[in-house]
Amino acid sequence: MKQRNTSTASAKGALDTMRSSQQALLEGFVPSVWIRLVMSLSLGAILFGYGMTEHENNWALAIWVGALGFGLSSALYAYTYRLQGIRIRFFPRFYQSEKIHIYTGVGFATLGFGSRFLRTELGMEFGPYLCATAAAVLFFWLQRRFPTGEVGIKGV
Amino acid sequence: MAELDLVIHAPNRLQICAMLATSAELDFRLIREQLGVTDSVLSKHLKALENAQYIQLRKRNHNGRPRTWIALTRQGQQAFEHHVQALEAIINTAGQAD
Repeated sequence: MKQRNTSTASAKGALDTMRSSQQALLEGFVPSVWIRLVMSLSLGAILFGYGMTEHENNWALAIWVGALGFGLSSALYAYTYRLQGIRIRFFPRFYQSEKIHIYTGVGFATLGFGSRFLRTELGMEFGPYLCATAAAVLFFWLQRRFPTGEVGIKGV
Repeated sequence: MAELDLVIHAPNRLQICAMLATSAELDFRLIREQLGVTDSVLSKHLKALENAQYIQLRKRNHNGRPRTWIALTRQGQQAFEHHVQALEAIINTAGQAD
């Protein structure tokens, strides 16, 4: 069933309604900031550990602890949503969301690579600190902006 | 040019689809509370969407309590995307004409 006769005001109203529904859902049910903080810091720890590791030194442990923390906090994040009646997707639904996931994946991989490369190849000792902090801040921001991993309807 | 879909265009169904687009599945109770409607009204809207094969309903037990989970199907997702594109096109066309 299709139609074409809709006024501009009605179209704007419909988009506003959809956007506010999505915002209410995404902002009203977002898991605790502590869970998101642990997830972000764990990701930072993984990248920092990777940047500092040399021949299985103690920093290699940071990668494992970070991965464990990230895995557990991610599971808690999804479970918290589920308890409230929202099941989040592992892979995004829409093309725009897929693009953002790919860009951020490449971004985190670059930060991970950079964390090690800056220190070992260029002698910049601050490299792992910089990349890990950037990754943690970026991840925290992404979770605030796209809590379920999907891009909402844009403003008109 | 994408066309408006009357199944989705009804205000409550528009909101249901918009909410479902943000996640894999939503609980019936959550949608009901967000819309502020009764069970029967929500069921009627869900039935309309289900008949158009835009959503899928699944019943599962959680801690011994039955819960109904609703998910947007691929067909529903495409219909929703086309509907949003159609609405944006109406606004953009009007913007160019001004």
